[in-house]
Amino acid sequence: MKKVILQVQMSLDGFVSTGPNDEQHWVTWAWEEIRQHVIGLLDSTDTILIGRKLAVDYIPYWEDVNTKPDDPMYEVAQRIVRAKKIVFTKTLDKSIRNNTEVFNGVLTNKINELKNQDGKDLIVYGGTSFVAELVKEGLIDDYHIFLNPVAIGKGESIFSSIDGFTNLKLKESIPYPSGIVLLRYENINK
Amino acid sequence: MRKLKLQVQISVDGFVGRTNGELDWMTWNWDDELKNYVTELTDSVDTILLGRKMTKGFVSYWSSVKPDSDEYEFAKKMLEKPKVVFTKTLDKSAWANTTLAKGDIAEEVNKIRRQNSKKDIIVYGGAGFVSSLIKNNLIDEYHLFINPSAIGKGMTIFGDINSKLNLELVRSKQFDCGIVVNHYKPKE
Repeated sequence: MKKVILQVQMSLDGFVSTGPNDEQHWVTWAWEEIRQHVIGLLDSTDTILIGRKLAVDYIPYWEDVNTKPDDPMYEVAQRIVRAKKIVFTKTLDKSIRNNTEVFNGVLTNKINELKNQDGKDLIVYGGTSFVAELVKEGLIDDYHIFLNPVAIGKGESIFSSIDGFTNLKLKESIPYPSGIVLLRYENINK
Repeated sequence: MRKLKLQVQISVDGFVGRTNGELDWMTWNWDDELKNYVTELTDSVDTILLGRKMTKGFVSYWSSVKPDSDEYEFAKKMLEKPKVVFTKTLDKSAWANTTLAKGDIAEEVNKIRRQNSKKDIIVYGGAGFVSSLIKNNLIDEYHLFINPSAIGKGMTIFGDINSKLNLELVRSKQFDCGIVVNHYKPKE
């Protein structure tokens, strides 16, 4: 069965975003260090799950970068544009973008259906409330958390909706020179 | 000047305790390497700072450890090392090897830092006291024991900071029991 992989930037105090208009200014910019891991994850997947709120900016953003071969993130844009994107929404009902499907039914059913199809794994980057729903429903199989060496005091968390607590299994941790530490966990409460 | 070190158990989502203080989210089967890390840290200090609220629990817990327990050596150290309890309400200490600090938190910590000793100072909690130390930029070494669990809500140590707090990673180490210890210092 296919896996759902989460890749996310997180602060020391567990936040992935300072709020609805987060600019991620708090995230340590160390693309050369984490590049190989990020590209590797993109290449191990062929479908991006994405919440509606993020999708409206995210998809046009990467389509734009994909027109600029000199942009340092061009190789990422190429992969994101090429991947199949599934936008989870309660309001939109039709797709307006290439390689993009809109889904507004029951989340768990759709994810389980996708996981049973042939092909590469599924990846999700955000937005926060969509990821929080996936976490709550136990639908994330692998967590790839880039832990930034900064605390931001308040913000939004992907774990805020869980009931009680959830145990994870540590797969590996990788410290980078910039101070980012990649934490890789596996869901053991499936 | 002596350093103030923080050693704290923290969840993946950045909490140091569940809302009602439950300890069920923490990893307890520490491997030998992690035990050694803690022993080294413990032996590098000769003074423990404590928030008033957690002092009673701290002293009674370590006092109750029996000589045949794995924790006995550590418990003895916790009880024997001089402790300073930060309080605004107490007038005298009810505990052995314990003095009170009743003044401004930064002045009191700096007074202890200036004491003549080759060893450093450590703090384990509680959450409110550590939050004040962090807000006042008094921690010299952060040893965050990241436990492999998320707890959704609970007690935090970074909730009082006014803006963002940038730290510098000194060392990160993964342990077999699933804990990752990240050692940070304040960014220059």
